[in-house]
Amino acid sequence: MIISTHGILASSGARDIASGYLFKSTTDSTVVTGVIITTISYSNLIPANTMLVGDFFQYNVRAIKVGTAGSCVIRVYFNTSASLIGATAVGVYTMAATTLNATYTKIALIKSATNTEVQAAVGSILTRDALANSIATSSININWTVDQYFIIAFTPNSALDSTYANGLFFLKT
Amino acid sequence: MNIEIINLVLFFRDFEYNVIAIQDIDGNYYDMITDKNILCFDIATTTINGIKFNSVEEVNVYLFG
Repeated sequence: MIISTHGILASSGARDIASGYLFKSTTDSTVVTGVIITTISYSNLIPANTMLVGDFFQYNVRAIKVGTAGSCVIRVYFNTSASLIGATAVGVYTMAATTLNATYTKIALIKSATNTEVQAAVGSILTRDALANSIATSSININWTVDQYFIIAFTPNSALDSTYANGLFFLKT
Repeated sequence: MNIEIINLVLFFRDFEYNVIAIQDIDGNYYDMITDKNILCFDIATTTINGIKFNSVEEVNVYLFG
């Protein structure tokens, strides 16, 4: 702990974020092109115990697709490593072939240690949030007591298109 | 990576999940849809109960008959 000459207390160590942006970026993510397999475009570490029971989080991804050769699926995952293997899906949204940009946003509630709730049904496409939804909410099991990576991946339907995120944020409230 | 599924119950990271379906995403990655999560895995590097599978059809036949 350092006490400055102005009497302001400063401390070193991990920052404890009660609420606010955990991360945000207007830098273009890795462009996914030339492939039709699910490919990671962006990932960011959320350290263990950053998210707590009782928290909300909201992520917002602005996806850009250059080209209209095919559709493209935006996939959002959490995983204990920056990998798709064993990753837990929390959101899926399909951009049609003629779609050039999409803002994909989702709000989740951490209701318990084993229940991170999103607005959609497990077993179907977890679409973007809606003001009203006839599909039941789903309970997703994410262990927030260990490091988790927030992962954005794209599944292009055509190798001719290029898809990336040109902006995103992850907000903890 | 090896995952255990017994009587359609997946044991993963100290939790139990009821497996509902396996879906092919893009020919390389697959969604394992459970009652709690949708897990992404690659059958090229993943075995189920120690068994290596070559297609989502093989996995579905093994799990659901």
